[in-house]
Amino acid sequence: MGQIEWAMWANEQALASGLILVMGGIVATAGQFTKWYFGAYSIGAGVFVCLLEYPRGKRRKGSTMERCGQKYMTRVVKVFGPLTRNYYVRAFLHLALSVPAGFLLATILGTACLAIASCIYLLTLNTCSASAKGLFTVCEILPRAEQKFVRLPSGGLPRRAVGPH
Amino acid sequence: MAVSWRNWLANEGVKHLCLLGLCLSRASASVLNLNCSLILLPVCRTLLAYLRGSQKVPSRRTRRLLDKSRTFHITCGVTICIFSGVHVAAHLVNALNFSVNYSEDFTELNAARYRDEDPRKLLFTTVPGLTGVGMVLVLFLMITASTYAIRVSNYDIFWYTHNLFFVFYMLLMLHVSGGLLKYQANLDTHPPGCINPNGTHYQNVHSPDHALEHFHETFSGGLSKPDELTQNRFVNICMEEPRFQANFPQTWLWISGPLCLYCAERLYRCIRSNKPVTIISVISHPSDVMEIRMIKENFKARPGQYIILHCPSVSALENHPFTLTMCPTETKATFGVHLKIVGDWTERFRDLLLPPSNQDSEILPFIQSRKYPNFPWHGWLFPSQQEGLQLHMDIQGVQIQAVIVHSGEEASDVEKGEKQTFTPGSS
Repeated sequence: MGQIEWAMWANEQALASGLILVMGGIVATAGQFTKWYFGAYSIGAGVFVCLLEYPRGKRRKGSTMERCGQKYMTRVVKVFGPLTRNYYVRAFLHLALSVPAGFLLATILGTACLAIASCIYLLTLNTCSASAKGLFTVCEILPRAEQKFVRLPSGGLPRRAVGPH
Repeated sequence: MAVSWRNWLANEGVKHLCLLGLCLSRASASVLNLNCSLILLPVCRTLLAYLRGSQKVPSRRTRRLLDKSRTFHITCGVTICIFSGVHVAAHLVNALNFSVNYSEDFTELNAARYRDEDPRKLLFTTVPGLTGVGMVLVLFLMITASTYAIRVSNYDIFWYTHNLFFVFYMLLMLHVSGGLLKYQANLDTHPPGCINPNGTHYQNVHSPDHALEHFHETFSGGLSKPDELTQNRFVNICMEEPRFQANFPQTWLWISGPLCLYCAERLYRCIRSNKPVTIISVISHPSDVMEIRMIKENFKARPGQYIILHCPSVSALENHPFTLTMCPTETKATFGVHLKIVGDWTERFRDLLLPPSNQDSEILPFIQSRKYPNFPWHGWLFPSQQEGLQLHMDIQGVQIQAVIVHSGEEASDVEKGEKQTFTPGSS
């Protein structure tokens, strides 16, 4: 269990929850639900969560697959510094954002999904080791320039095994 | 869903409460029925391997199609995701309409019990509502863990959440058993749109329904079926109150077949994987590669196939596939795999099989291959006790189970087998 990087999954969940919130909000406002203003809030909260969670954080080991066009949002998210990088802040922020959407039927599923994402972020914090706590609370956003490139083997076959073995 | 005109008429009742949501939800439910049944077929790997390798599928094109089974499974999954969204959105609108358009005339068809009942109550106090929420949450967990990035980086998350599919199917079976979907049982005596001679006129509530009513009248008028129903439609007199019965859940018919097939296949794989296999040698190669040679009775395999290794001493839940690097032949029954030590499972497996002092050895091979007799309920023959080979003795209860699964020809090794546990020092 300690090997699993829950933060990556929490990131995917939060992104999907944002989309569900937006869809629920659209249904609520277009369907003219009685408390339609919760629907409008849900659209705003969903868009905010999507933008915040779009940049994929760096993995602990191994290379990270970037999402398409994430470098633009990365610059914006980095501006807020520790507020956006810290997993504690993300977990409680998602929990707080999900509560108002629970008052309307159309957005209640978005609430549930965002709450689950928040719980997985908290699980991330619980499963990381005490010594590495400082590292795992930070979500490093990987700029494209820092990606490593694998050196292709040179020379014809047969060749001796090379690399960090 | 049946598309006879009589079926359409029998289901007209709910249109008095909600029209667009009704059409969208039932249409998306039909698509979901189909996809939930089809998605199980590409994961019946033993069946696909049998079809691919048998003479019944001679065409190369068909074999290539069978190789695309995973892509088909993913396509069905994406379709389920999209149409679940449509289905849920439509039902949210339905729930609102049930509440807002509550009428004493249609209490049998309405899920709401009184006017302006909180739609959230409809969601959480009805069987379809509760199971629907459960299914959405299970689907949410499965889909978020099935993305390419998660599969590549943390396969465990994908595998464990994907096994929630069984919960999804159980909830689906309950979802349709709520009896909320009803049809009118007495169309002959109470055709839709008729006038009650006692004064109640079953007038359409929504303006689009007038168009629908006109459509139905035109449709039925165009048919040359001079039965009572059409005559009553022209006359529009109700002879009795409408009676409604719950629809038979068609979803059960759609998913029962593939689900039973998949369960049978899992059972077969489970039984087949309980057969014993003997490890006869373990060889350490440079660059963190380990070769394992094994032997198993009545085991056949072709080049290109792979086996799945399960070692409870390493991990009770994990199974890992490895391509065969040596296949059994007519003269020699040994088969082998080469493993690269990259993750925690392979590391622990190597530590179990090879002593740490010998792992750095660059001599290749340092263990001589020897065919050991198969000892049921015994451990390995520890060769170092007899021939001075360098295999460590401290292995506790290593149990290896091997299963052959591939999209090619299925390895035929069907026979009764006894479970074999490897225990040290018992020989």
